[in-house]
Amino acid sequence: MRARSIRTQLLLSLLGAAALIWAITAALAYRDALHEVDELLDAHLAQAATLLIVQGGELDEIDTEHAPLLHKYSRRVAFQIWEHGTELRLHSGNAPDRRLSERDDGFSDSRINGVRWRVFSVWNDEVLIQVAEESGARAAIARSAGRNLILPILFGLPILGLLIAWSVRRNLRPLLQLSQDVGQRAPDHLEPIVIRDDMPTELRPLIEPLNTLLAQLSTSLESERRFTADAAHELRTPIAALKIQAQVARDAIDDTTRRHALDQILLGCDRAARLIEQLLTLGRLQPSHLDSRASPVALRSLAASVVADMAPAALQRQVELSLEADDCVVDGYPALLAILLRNLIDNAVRYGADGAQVTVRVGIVDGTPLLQVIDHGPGVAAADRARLGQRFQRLGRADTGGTGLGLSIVRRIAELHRAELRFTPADADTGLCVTLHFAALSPTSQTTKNPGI
Amino acid sequence: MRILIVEDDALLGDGLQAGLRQRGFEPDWVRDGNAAVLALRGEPYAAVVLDLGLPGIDGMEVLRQLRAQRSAIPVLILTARDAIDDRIRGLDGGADDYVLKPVDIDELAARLRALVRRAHGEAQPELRNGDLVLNPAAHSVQFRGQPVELGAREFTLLHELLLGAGRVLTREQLESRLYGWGDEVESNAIEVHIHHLRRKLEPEVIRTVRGVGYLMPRAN
Repeated sequence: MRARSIRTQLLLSLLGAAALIWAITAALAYRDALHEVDELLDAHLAQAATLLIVQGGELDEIDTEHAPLLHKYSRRVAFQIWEHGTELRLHSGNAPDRRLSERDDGFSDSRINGVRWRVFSVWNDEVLIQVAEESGARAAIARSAGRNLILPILFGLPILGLLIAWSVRRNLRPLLQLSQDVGQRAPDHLEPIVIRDDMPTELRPLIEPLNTLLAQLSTSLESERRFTADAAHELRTPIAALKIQAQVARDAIDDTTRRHALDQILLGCDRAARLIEQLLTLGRLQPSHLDSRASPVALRSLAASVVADMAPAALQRQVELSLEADDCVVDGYPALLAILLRNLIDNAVRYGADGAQVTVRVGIVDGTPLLQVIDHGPGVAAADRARLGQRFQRLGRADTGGTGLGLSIVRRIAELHRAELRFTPADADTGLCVTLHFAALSPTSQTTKNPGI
Repeated sequence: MRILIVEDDALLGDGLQAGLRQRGFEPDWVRDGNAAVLALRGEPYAAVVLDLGLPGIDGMEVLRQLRAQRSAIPVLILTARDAIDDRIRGLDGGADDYVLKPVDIDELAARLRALVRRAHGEAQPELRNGDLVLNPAAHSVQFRGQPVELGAREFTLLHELLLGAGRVLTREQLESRLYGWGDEVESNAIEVHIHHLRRKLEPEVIRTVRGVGYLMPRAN
């Protein structure tokens, strides 16, 4: 479809409508003018005939040959006076010899020697008086009157057109300004569009959603920017460690120091790789990047598979991993929920007490599907709990090798599932219980039986 | 020269400690702000390498407390925070240098030497007292124009005595500046090193103040 300009459209339609109405008005006026002129001339004919009748008695005294020409149109006016209707007593110079009309009274049209006449006849028992006017002349008069009426209208049309064009242009200026404002923006200029008082009310419904969109864009751009900055910061420390350990290894005199430094370098590489992996995971967790729709997920089998995956690594750290699960189905993304659970278990194993239990619980409490990961470690102070899940916040011991991103990922996945994340102490005031409250099940997903993972 | 490293990252802290030790420093390493505050209260460090993002007390708060106690110890901030605001806040908050990660360990060592030198009012890279010239960067000593071979501890001891030339340094002060945590210190270790220094240089270079400590007289 071709793009159309509102201005051109408005101009065309307004001008078209105006021209159409103009034309109709002009046609009607012209027709009325013709008709009125016709009536007027007819009245004149009748009046002239009446005058002649009144003077009928003194016919002899009228100069028969020289009826005066009183007006430029007079030449085209003719009269005949027939005594007893048969003898032509008197006539104007331009009148033919034959009767102007066969009719004895009233108006009639006739054609004599190729000239068309409009005739008025009157008969008073003695004389027949016929007054006539050339039809051509009458038409000329009528046309001229009509033309005089229409001319100003025709001249007015272009003026009206200009006025319409000016008015359309003037009224569309805010729209033009808005489009220029938006068009000239740099990609990172996301401040809201200012609603000025002179803006037409029709534009506001357009600007307000636009501003909402700009605000959302700005927020997400800002968070991306912050994320990139944070990520760059977080990579600095492992790179610094790698560099310095490498220098230590290079300058080492004894094998023990060198071997230790090289081991540290390998450890550092692993950690940097893990950090990058976590960063990529977090980067992928944007709603726009999700390639599939949420589907019913059987939490129990999902948890069982993740726990089975992670139990061996936990055992190496002397942590016993266990699952207590009831059947429970939620709407979600199975792959993401697995990442979430893996991160929570990883945290619990990493930060929980050595040799203690880590329990994963799945079930429905008061109609709400729950996923819990409980450890019996030192826990997190109430004041610090709010900081949990913020990017790159490592609380407590720093030597656990965490990237500081695990809970950010968990939080992000929880948001994508519209699930609420809560941190509470597992025991009296130690240990940590992370609970994910999912939205209540929709009836459709409840009927779906374990679709598998 | 004893340096306190405050760094929460295990790999980096370990690397800094090993690297600075290779370069003739005697570094101690703590991993959080609380430990840093405690260590700085008790031990006479020549300088501090301070990370900003620390668990517990933040690096800036460690610095604030340090300066609030009127400590003039040189502080080098080693951080990933590169914003101009952070640098300004760090330097205005009492830091003597602000270095971004990742850093070259040799550069870090050089910066620390410069900070310590400046802290003792010296602008020259070499410390001089009469015929004695000590170059901390090259780890070399010359006496009357002749190079002198010194052990690591002997060098550090001479360095401390030169930095404090004209003042009496107690045996405890010298011990705490020479030895890091976990170093085995023989009760007569300082006496032995002093003895070796006197033999390699000249007995008059180091004077004993009986019952108090040692003194390197300022040469005119």
